[in-house]
Amino acid sequence: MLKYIIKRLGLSILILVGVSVIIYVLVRIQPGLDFVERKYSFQLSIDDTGEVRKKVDEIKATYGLDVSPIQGYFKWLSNVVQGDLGDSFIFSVPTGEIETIIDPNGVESKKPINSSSVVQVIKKKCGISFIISLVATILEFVIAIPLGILSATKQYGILDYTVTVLAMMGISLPSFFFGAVLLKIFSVDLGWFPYAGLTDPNSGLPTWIDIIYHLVLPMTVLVILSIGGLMRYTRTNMLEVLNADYIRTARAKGLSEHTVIYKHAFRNTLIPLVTTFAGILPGLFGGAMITETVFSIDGIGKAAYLAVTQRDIPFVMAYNMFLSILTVIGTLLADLMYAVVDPRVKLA
Amino acid sequence: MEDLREKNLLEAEITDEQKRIEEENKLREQQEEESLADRVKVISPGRLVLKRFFRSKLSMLGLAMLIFLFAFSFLGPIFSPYGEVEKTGEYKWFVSVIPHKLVIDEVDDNGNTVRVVYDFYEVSDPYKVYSKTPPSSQSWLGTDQYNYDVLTRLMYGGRVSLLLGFIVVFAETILGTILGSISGYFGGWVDQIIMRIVDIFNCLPGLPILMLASALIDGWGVPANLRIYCLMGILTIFGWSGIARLVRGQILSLREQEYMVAAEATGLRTSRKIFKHLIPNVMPQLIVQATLGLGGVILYESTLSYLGLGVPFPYAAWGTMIGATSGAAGRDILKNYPNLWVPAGICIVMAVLGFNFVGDGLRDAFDPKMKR
Repeated sequence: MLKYIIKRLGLSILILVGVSVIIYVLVRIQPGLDFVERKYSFQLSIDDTGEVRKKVDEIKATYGLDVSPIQGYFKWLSNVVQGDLGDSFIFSVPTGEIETIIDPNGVESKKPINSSSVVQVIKKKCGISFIISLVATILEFVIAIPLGILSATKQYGILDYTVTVLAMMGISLPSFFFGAVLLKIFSVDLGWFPYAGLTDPNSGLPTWIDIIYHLVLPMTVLVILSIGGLMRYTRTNMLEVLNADYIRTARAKGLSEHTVIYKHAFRNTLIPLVTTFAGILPGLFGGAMITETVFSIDGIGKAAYLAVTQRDIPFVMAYNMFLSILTVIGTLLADLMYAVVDPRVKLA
Repeated sequence: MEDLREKNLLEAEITDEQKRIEEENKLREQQEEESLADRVKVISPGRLVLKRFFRSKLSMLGLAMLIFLFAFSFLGPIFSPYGEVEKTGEYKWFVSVIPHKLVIDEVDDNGNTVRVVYDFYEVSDPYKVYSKTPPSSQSWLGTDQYNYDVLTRLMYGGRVSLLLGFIVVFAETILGTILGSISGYFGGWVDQIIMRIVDIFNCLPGLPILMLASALIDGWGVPANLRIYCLMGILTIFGWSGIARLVRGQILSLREQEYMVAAEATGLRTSRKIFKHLIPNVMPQLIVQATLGLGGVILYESTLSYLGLGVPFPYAAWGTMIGATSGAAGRDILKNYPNLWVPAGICIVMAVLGFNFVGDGLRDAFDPKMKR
């Protein structure tokens, strides 16, 4: 077991290096001005002392933007190995610490310290995305698994067809369209839910209730879109188990249908369900790019969208590597869990 | 099934008559046996699959939706009076009038200063203003913010999505099948290398990578009419790994079967063994996977178009039409002009749902364990 885990971890590092090369090259080989040049383009154009040029070159050197993508990659890699993921170009978040400034007149003023360290930014923005995904995932499991079981036990019945069609519609809905429809109906037309954001200072509600109120629509999108897949997966596996011989034996013994389904069949359905954990992990922390953008939620998904469009290299790299690491860990965990829940599986 | 029931009924009839007439009974039984022999039909596996497929209501519904969408997008433009990028001619003449007021102190004939106010108006030349229009008899779904006919744009958008979906899935399947079968058949270090590449591609986060790659195409300044081909390439490159994995898994188990030992014994070439003996056996799974994959590709394409990174502007795409609702600028469209974006969304849902229904139906039809 330990040997297996070590081997897998070794392979994971190889995979992560491959992933980072692809992402870095994709961000770097984009033609046109990079972020720093774009930001200082006006100053550069009116600069005749050469001071700005010097400053820009300095900044570029810090981020490895002055060298070729390959050298830049190695620079990034060596920084990462030393634990430095760099600073985000476009984001900065308060660190929670407060700096006291004393101005020349002796007046003290307090100012929160901001940090644009990528790790800090991700940590800060992850919070709300994690809460949203966690609740959505719990709801997804609570709704999808019973529906899947029900639909498998009543195969080809009206209930089965209804649930299947609804689940398929959920899978087929693009999040941006469903989000827009919900906004149009419940926010613009009926005015029941807020249009965007997380809090409304004028609502007069306690902050956490206000946040929940703002999250109803995005949560609905996430849950409805994800139920379908899990429900159908449960249904397929349940059907497979229900056709097995030991279910016939259980019925022949005269056990109640409830015991047959929930004690004998469902427990065995859990084995393939364990593999779905591989996908949950990156989903939990990675945020929902499109849904967060549609509803203007200041989470990690929206941040990633902005970073990609504005070519914030350190953030894009850190975010994507974060996702890849979670995927790798998720897959490994799923494989290990598989061996734990199913004694027939041997890891090699 | 039908035949069987008929036969049972006939037999029941016969037993009834058995009681009445003994002689006729024998005669009829003989006849029955003869006609039974006539009735036995040999159905090839392919026909069996088709029969099962057409019996499922959901897959028929899916097929109907797809046929409708194809007819709509490929035949529709023939009947449409407007082109993809053609202003429908619905415009108003506007004249802008800017009032000005000039206050001047003048000295009049008597030598007193008098304040005189001049009002004058700056009148522009008449100019055309195109605008969004609600559905009308001329254009059934109205016109969009560029005064293009929405219904016609919807048809052209469908061409892009459906065609792109098919080409991408086809290319993905070929690439994935070749690499997966090589990996599964040879095993060893070949397998190791290919599977690690598959792992890397599997680990890449989907949407961010597609966005980065599309932005790259954007940056290179590829002309608008070629962008769609680049998009196809991107979706293929980042989408083949799932197919490769599936094919490899299947081939790993297939190559151990006895018929492959027989193929080995007859001294067939490796390529023949792979492409004539192994891959046809993976075909059912491949077809199912490809059909289900089509829906996914259409979703990715429309998401990229929604973000403005897919099919570029003068060309129509379903995702772009919904994208018009995003942000503060799109609020007016979201609120007041559902005719501009709701139909596009319905089209996407129909296409994806259609492919999912058909794919599901095919999977059930191919599954030998299924009883119905």
